[in-house]
Amino acid sequence: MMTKYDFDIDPAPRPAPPAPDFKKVLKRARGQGNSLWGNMQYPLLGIAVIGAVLLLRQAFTDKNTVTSNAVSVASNTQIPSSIQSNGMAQQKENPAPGHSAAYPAMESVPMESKDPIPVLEQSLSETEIRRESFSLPAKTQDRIYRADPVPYDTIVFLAEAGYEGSLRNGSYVSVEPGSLKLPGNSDASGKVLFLYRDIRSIGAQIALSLPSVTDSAGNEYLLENNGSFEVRIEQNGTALHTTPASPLSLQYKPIHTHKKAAPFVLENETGHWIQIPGTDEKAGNKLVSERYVDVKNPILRAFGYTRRTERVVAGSENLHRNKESAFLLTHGGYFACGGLLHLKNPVISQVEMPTVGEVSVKGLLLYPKHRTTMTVQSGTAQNIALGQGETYVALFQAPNGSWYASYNSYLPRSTQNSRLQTLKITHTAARLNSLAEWNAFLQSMGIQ
Amino acid sequence: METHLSISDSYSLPAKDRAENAEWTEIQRAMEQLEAFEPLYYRYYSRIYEFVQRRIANTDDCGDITSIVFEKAMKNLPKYKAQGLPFGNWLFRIAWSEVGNYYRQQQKNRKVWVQSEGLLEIATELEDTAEENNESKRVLKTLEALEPEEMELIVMRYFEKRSYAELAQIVGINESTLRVRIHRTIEKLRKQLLRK
Repeated sequence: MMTKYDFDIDPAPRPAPPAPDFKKVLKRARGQGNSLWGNMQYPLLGIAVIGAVLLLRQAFTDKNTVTSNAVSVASNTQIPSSIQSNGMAQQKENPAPGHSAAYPAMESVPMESKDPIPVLEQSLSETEIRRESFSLPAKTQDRIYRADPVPYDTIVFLAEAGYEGSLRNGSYVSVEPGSLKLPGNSDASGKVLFLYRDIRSIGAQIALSLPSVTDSAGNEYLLENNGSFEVRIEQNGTALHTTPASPLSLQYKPIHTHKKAAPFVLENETGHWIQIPGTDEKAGNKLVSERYVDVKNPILRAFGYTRRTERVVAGSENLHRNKESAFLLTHGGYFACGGLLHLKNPVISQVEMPTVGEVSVKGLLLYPKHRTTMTVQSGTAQNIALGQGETYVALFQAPNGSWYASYNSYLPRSTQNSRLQTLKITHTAARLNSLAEWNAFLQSMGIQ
Repeated sequence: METHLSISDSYSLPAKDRAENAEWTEIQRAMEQLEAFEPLYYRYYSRIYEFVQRRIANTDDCGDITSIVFEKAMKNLPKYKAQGLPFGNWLFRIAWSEVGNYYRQQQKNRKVWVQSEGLLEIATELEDTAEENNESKRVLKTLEALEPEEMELIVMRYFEKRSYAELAQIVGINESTLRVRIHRTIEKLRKQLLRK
């Protein structure tokens, strides 16, 4: 039977909650109040019926036992532990109506899990923040928050069957059947999880703390980014890879076509983008194939782009029309970053990834006091951030070891259209070389 | 030249961290003596009440369920472990479970708290190109096809704007599984939308 819902759309503010009464709850928690009956009336009624039947059955066989059992139940309103545990086992086997096996009914109270940290493990496997080598003291190191500014596209497919299809932003991926390998180069089989995300705005790149540095003959240069992506295929948390003989092929939609462009891969050890061997920068975006993406509207969303964001952008003095901005989901809520051009006819160029390795992004380092995810390196004055909240400060260590801090003031995302005309953005980036400078920076921002 | 920002040990912890550390101390104290639960109760009372109120129409029931949540939290406090699950999310998890129990016992229509902003976001997710008003209505209509658990994921994700990590902790599954479930739910909505 289909569940019926009453939708309460944008409800008016509700009356304040009744005054909290801790003493009453404490009394109940200690089993001194009558709430146990109130809370558990249905389970207890059930047990009472079963108990009565059992007692009646026993009454015909053994009167003495009946008496003692009855006293026991009456004087102790707690459910006997044997019945309680049996009840729970039964609940697991036969979920309550409306609960499929995929969504088992939760027990009233979360029980201790035999595997207590699946969430933590999962988050580690996604961003690997713990492997970073930031040189903060222990006090703050364990307070590095994982941010999720650019959500992944997730696709599950069978390794034996491979996968071919469009990704959300118009890029196209192809994984040959049987081409995925487990560590040790044995063939992977069964369901695999394909994770993909596209990072093409400077805001998204900064929010993910992706470096923009390339290395040439020992010198560091700033890499001009024409769109980047992260791809990972894993099975039960284990990263899979391909072989050069049957690489994962990805037709990537770049931000621009450019006469001088080449694919680079991020080297985690150095934080440098390294040009993929065999590719020639002078060749530009080598168009192995070209086609136009069938999009009804020009990119309405990528990384959670929305039309609402466009309105925000339109009201800003600092951003131009025909640009989009992204709402990025982060630890503290949504942030918006501006800067992506509308591409009415995005061109697809093909880039081949020789291997799917650990091309993971750096975890975002947040200064613990603040919830921000936005950081800006000095010299990138064009980066504008809009979003939710009021004032945020982030501390960010660049690959060269320098520390940067950024300060952003936002209007709340819930700001309605009428107020967008008065939107103001303040944005400051500073490079900080000492604790004194950091403190002075905070002070100047009125943070401390 | 030294370019690193060094933070000395004497650098005091920021307010948020101090608060979290203090909370864990409070929890440990409450584990030993239930009266010490009081500050936690007052801190989370209104948040839990609001969570319940968004899901249950009857005001009296909201108050009762909120009390039950704290009562169960206090009873089961020794089972709480800080690792991997913030205390607030643990309470939300109990509250979520209690709301489920409530609807299993009462044959009532489920109340769903909806934000039109979230509806638009879903509409965009579905890449629907209709006008805004129509979009919201159509999405609302498709939501009716969801199972209660799917609906909860949508509510917590799109209307309450919870992060995947937070949501996974409340629902009690790992984040990857959660992402897949939300993705499937969105796909289900997309199919519904096409059907209509």
